[in-house]
Amino acid sequence: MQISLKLELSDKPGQLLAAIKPVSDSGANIISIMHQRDAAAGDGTLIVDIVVTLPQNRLGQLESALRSNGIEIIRIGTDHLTCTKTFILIGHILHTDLTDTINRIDKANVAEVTELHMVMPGITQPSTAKLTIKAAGSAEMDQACEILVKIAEEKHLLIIDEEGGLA
Amino acid sequence: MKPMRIALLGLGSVGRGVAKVLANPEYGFVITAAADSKSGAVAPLGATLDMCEVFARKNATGKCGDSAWSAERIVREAEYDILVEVSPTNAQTGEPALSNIRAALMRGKHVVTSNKGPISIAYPELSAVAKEHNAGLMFEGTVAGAVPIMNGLRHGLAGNRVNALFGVLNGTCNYILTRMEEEGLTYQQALLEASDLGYAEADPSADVNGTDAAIKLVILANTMLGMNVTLDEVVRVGIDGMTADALMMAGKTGHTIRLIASIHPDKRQLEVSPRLIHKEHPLVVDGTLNAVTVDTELAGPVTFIGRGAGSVETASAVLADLIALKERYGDK
Repeated sequence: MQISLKLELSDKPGQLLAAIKPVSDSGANIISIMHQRDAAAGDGTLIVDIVVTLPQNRLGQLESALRSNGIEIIRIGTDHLTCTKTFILIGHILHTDLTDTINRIDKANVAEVTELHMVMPGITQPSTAKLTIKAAGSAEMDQACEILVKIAEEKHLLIIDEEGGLA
Repeated sequence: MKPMRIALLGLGSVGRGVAKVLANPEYGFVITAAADSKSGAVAPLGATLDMCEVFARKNATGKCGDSAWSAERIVREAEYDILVEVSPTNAQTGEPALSNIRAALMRGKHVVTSNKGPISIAYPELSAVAKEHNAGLMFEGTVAGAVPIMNGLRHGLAGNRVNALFGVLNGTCNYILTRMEEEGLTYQQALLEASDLGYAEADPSADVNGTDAAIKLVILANTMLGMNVTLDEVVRVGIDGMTADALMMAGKTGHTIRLIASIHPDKRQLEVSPRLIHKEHPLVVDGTLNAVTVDTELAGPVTFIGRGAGSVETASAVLADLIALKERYGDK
């Protein structure tokens, strides 16, 4: 799982190491570290952004290690949804309960509709929408696709999938 | 080498193309019998038919020859070495072409066809009959016109396992989608244009609903990939609901939409549906062209592109089959 950490450090020597060492000790794979002195708020603190990959069950351990080193954790962002697929849908998308369509695909931390762009040329004409689904992995994406196919059948929507097909 | 004798069934666009190509004596074939759906012409023993005369008679009277010589009778009684069956496709029963091909094979005559009906419906049976009677059965022209997909798979890529196959197998749909993409035409406008240019049939439904491509997929699956599937097993979604907006949206990320026919042999999955595809992908061809990408075990992906229909183009596939038969069985 990819995790982004926003940390607040005191602006004095040795603090950056105090922030990085627990991360490294946790076995996380560090993807990037952003450390800008200019971003100092003027109150003797400094912001550091770290992006790592780490198994989810070790996140708690990392948090406590950071806190015991006197590091303030401002925000932890996790991105579970690493698999992305785009579809185009054609049909009466809005009038067949768009909220229902999205609700049925959305499953917290498993699969989500992250983008929807729709063109509606006229009330009697079919709309066209571009829909992006993000999922935690390929198995979860397959599940989301299955749900989408079922919805499309019910609501008479045409799904245009990517080249490999719904296979 | 003695020329091989051909009985030609079907004197439409493809039949004319075949007659035109075979008029060149260098290829080593002569036409000794010919029939359309109403009548037939048979040359006296040892002689060959003057096809210009046959077509002139057909144009003038609507019949190419004598009603007493039906296609069925030619198949059973006339003197020939190879039956060239290029009559129009009947996708439901394959008839009358199916019975004619079967009868010719049972006489030990070789068969070359561009007719999708019999091959998509009865390939396992026809292939067994051919084997039993030591006759050749060739059908390169049934899929993707001039594109040598069958020969490419059978010989060029021999021994390679095919992991997946993707094809643009319907020129009418590809033309419509190309025009919608290029000019922002509606589906109806693009279809009308395709009809005006003769790219779409009077009843284009089998093309635009994906059936034509699905039939070709069944042929490829059964003849080239060792599967045994029927048309009902192919998931089919057509392009008749396509909007110009969809192509515009696809274009914003460098994609387009094409009617893609695919086979995943391991999963026994066959599907024809419009799909998003990157514009740089080799399968994205313009106008009425056809393309097939085979993803193979050793050679990786290989793409074939060419003209998928047309009189002389399909005759090219028929000629290739005829020459292969001549190399294998000629002068025996």
